[in-house]
Amino acid sequence: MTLAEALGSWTGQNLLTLALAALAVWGGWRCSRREHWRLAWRQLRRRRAAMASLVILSGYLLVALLDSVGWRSPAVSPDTGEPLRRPDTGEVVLDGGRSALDHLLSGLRRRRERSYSAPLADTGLAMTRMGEGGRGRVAVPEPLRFPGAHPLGTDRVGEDVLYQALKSIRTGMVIGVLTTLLAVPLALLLGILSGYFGGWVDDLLQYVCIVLSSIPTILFIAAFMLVFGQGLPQLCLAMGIASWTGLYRLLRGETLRLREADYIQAAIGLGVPHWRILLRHIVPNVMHLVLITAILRFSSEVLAEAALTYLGIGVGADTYSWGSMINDARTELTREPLVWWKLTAAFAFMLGLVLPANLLGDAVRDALDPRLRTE
Amino acid sequence: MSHHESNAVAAPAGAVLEVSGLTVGFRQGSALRTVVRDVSFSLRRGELLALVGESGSGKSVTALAVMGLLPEGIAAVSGGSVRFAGQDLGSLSPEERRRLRGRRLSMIFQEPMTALNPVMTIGQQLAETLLAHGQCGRREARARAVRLLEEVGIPAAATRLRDYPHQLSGGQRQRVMIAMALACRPELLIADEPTTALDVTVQAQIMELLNRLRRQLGTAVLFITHNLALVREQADRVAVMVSGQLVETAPAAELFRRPCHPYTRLLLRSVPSAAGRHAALAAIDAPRPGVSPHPAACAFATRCPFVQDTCLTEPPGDQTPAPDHHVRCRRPSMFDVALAADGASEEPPPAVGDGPRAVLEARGLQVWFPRRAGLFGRRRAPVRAVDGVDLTLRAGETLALVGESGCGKTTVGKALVRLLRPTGGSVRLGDGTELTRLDEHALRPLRRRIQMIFQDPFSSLDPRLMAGESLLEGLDAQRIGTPAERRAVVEALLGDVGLPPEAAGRYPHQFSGGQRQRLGLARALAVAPDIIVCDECTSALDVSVQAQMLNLLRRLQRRLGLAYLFITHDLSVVSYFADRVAVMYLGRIVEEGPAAEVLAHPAHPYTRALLAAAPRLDGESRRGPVLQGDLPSPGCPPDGCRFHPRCPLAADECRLREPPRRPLAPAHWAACHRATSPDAEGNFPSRLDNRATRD
Repeated sequence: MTLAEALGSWTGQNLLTLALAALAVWGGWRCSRREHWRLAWRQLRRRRAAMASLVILSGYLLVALLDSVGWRSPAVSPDTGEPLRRPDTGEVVLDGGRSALDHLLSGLRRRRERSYSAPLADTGLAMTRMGEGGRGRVAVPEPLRFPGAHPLGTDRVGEDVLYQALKSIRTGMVIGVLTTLLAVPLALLLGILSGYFGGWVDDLLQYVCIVLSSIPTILFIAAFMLVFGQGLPQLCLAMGIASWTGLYRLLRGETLRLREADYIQAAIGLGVPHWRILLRHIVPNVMHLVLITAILRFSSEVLAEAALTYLGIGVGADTYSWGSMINDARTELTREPLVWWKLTAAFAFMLGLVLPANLLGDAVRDALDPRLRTE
Repeated sequence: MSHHESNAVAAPAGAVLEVSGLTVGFRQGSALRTVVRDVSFSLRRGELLALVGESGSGKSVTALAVMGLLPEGIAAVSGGSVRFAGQDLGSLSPEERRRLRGRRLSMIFQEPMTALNPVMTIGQQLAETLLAHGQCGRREARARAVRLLEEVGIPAAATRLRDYPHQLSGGQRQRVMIAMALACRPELLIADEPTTALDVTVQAQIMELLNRLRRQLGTAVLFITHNLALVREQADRVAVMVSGQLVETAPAAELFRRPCHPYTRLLLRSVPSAAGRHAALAAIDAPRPGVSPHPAACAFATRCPFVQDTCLTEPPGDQTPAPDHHVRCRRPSMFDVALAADGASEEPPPAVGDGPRAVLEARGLQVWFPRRAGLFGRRRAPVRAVDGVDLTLRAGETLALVGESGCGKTTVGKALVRLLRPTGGSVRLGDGTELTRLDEHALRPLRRRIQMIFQDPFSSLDPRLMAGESLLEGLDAQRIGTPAERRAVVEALLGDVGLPPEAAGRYPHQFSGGQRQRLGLARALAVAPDIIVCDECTSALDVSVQAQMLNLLRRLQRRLGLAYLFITHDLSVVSYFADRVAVMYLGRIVEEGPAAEVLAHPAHPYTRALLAAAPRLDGESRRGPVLQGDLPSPGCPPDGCRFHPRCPLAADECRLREPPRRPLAPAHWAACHRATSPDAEGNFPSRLDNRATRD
């Protein structure tokens, strides 16, 4: 089994989710023991906008987590509703597996219509020839199978738009989180190595950074997808590689400054090994920059995914994402009557994620910036 | 607001500035915390009033209140009045005050690096000031700017107009600041620590300039400083502030002859000097905890060694021991009470000569920084920051390394601790181990022998680590002791530097500057070094806090036999603290000898210039000509004697040949062609600047 397959299987995905959650909890616990993080948290708590953003983001996170853990259950015969069994052994056959969110939203998922319908409509957009009236055959709106059951309407193949938008949350979050998790540690490692050691290490890394940032990002991602195929993990990897340079430069500069600080000089003078200086002094002292950048970066990655998918070099068509919803809207907006709800839903859900993330990022920056400290 | 009508400073006729009962509060949540309380003083035309006090005493806030520059919404004048040329400034609109600022009253700040806009040429900035106040037209502004620069003594003023601030030296930038402040011929100049960031030689130049302008233009100067020696030399009158209150005002001569307030007396005795060499310096205690005095009571009551019960409950009375000498203290008898005898006079240290063993020997130490322009840039001549320095440090002695900023003294310190790799020469420990050729790995265990403490109390401790963790760092790195032993060592170290054991669990921002400096010392002591390089470690501290630090350093030296390499530019500290002194100029040592002898009989013209420029608290003026110009770039040092371009004695020989070391007295030498040996009585010829000998 290849790594991609392992990550694609439910077991692999559940473990990965668990690992990420554990990492987040551990990081939070570590920070809560440090005075300056606690101080920043107290400052953050006083900002109402930040707290509201945090609540909304937690909602998104919850949906994404529910959509990231899943299991396979016995497949059911569509005709009889009986569990399927293998004819030879009598073993129960398992389906492809569904996430916890799918199980929760099974109502929405199952209520499929034939085609477009407006939000909360009783009838579809398509017309049906009906009856032999006094004046011949007339076209009347086709009644829906589940009238009034689609808060955001349905799309061309009759799938519920709210369901799609909710499923896209995971894609957005995965792109945001995984790309950040790839880019930030890379930038952190290379930035502090470059700034701390200087010399040829610095020259080499700077050179790589300059070359990488002179390749157009879209071109790079398109080429990457062409070579490694289209998919969520590939997209995360490509975007991660393309986006570490900004933070790298920031951290390199900060490390150059910190390196001359007296306490680092004192540590060198005491014979503290370099790796310990990096871990004990440099990393904690640039962590606030990393956190601020990570939060702000997260929202720009979500937006970038939408743009890339719209251009057809993002996630594949088989993955729910706001980008592909917007892509579909391209044709929908030229129809008569206008199909506006899919685009609106994608827009609202993206805004609901990106705006709180930006607000939180700003608040975190204020709370961590020593110049703005009021305590 | 005032609890009694302050008649402390009767407004003299023709006062430029009259501050009476000024009270300033800082908003803290919904409460207003008073930081300046009932301050009254006046300033006459052409007068220099020094406002003296420790950091946080409210000096700068007073100045900002006078200027009307208090940060809006945070601080506010809550009482009293400021009258400028007979006009109540409080009654003016913000717009009217703005027009007054820069034109009739102006201010110069401590930090010349940040007070000028780095992306505008100094000509533009000067012209802006002139134009903003409608002093002249655009065309005339340039000519006026040139005149102003010439006035403040900047050579080739017309060409300097196109320079950006970074192209000027610190002293020149401060001159430009003064030129801007004086552009409109103000009647009042407020100078907030204008020379604190500068070298003594530059300080002397700036003070000379201020005095000349005072004479010529009749500008009154409110001079804020904590440098008492400078005050003694320059001020007409002195006002002493403690915790937001003015406690003593007097003519300068009177104040230094007869200081009356307990704070003033302690402050003067905390200044290090050669006379008090073997005694501990007076230290002023931190406020006694658990005492909450009446808000109107004496601000010094909680720290005063002579405190009485009434000091804490009633406002301090006004006393007038002499005309124009006002003291706010409840104890009239105070003026006759002698301060407690000098804090346990300590044994003079054993004479330092060739006796004790050397613990560190540097020979021909060289630190050159390569200069490279860009990725494929050609190599240019290296910067010779340290260029052949010999130093010997013996156990238990203090060797002071003095010189102007940029002369390479910090680089020497860093090279000895191997924070920089010397490019040449040798550094040997007492047991003969050669350090310069060791690689990082081999050096690590030897690093504990020689430690360094730093100048800036705010950057010497990692803000993210608790004090205890910082102290453990060296023990961990050197693998000294078991974890339990290490904790015991940390506790003992905290005790040694006068901090409670609970301090281990606190973060740097919870300590004062002096406490942080002591923690830095404790961190160095943790690994039991033989040698500590102290890089300006008391320069950023208030005088009384500096006294504590020096007392502590000395106590530890006696107990542990430490050798200090004391890098400083403060000659009064040298005279008090050092056994030997080495004077450094542009990467070389130009004179070395026993501290007492070098300071009393300096032989090298540079040493003489340094001593002449340094103000002295004992009032003994030994003003020579002020050393002009700035330190040349160590990128292309002058040929021959490096000091010759600035030397008043320079002859042809000095331009051509590097001067050899001339022994002058036992263990005292100077590298100068024209240095002379002492005469039969051991005195050096008093007039070295005998130009008749020049050919």
